Amino acid sequence: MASTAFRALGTTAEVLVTDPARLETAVELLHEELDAVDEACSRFRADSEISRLHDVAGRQVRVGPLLTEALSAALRAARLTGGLVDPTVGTAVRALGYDRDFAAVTDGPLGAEVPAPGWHRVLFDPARALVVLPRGVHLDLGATAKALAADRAARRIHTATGCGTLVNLGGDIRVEGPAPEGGWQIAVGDDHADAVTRPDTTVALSGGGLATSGTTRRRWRRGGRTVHHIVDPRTGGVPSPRWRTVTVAGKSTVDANTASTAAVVLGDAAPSWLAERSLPARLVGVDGDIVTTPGWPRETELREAS
Amino acid sequence: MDPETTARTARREHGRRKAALATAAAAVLGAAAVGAIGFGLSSANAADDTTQTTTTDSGSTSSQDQLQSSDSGVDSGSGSAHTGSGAS
Repeated sequence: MASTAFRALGTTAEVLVTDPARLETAVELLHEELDAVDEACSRFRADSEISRLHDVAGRQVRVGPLLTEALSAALRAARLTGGLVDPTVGTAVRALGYDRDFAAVTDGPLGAEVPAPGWHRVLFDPARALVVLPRGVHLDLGATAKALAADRAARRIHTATGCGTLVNLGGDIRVEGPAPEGGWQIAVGDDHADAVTRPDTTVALSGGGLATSGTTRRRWRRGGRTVHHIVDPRTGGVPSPRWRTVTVAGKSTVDANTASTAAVVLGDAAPSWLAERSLPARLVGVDGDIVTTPGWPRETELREAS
Repeated sequence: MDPETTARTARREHGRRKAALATAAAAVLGAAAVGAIGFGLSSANAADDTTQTTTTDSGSTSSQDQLQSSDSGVDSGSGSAHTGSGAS
């Protein structure tokens, strides 16, 4: 097995392959995939396709295949969560001060909370790749675009190399192809950067995706308050502080990330919401209480194993 | 026609015009709504692997589309971690 990690999309990108001889190809393909996602979906780049879409709001435009896929994923996430994960939170996120690459976000006055105008206002025909973004609607595909990048990259790398592949983009993980014996061992913690050295628990994944959403990273001060990047589209503010970390396993990383983000927004109702969808999940409360849903391995067994 | 008949005819004509106008307006609004809904709903035809399994043969989005768990599930960890997941 071999792996490489580097910075991309404002976080850590990592690729692991079961055949070390295929690592160089895997890294090259991951770079290509991440560059393409950044060029299509980054709201921090004036030359990105999504920025150009904002520039022509109110007009019907044709978008490229990658942005079509990213919009499809984002709007599907919104529909399947009843708007708990909504790509039209762009203005709300900016009002909270996250209006540039996170490394450059600084303290400042807190603007008024701006509820998301609603995903259903985006007119989109994916078959023809046509979009009409109403004036005043700003998209933030952050919640699903990174997960989509993990899905796409892992598939592409596995297809090209034929070996078992794991792609991890800031804790959004996708595995493809034959896993190592016993499955890919994944440490779960509050912070993706030190989850391996300070794991809360460890799980094994042989297929699909796993994602963690949380409020312990990407936090900043604004108007004397601590805010973070997960926004409740219904209010435009940060969700009520119930869960600090939610980890979900799904068929794809997009599904896992959609569910974990929705759970943070949902608060108390999240465990039953996840269970109704048969999604294995681990939720850690802001006070440290741990709740798991059916399908998630028993915590005691994991602690013994780790 | 006497003035009363003329007035009745005029009122009936006015009523018909109003009804026709309302019908036409409803038709326009309905068509717009159908167009918008049709246009918007097509957004659900995501190209990711999850949706492909839940999209009907006609290409329209199935009401069965939902967030899905992994076929292979998630198991207890049994060794040192290859990588980690947490908030970013």
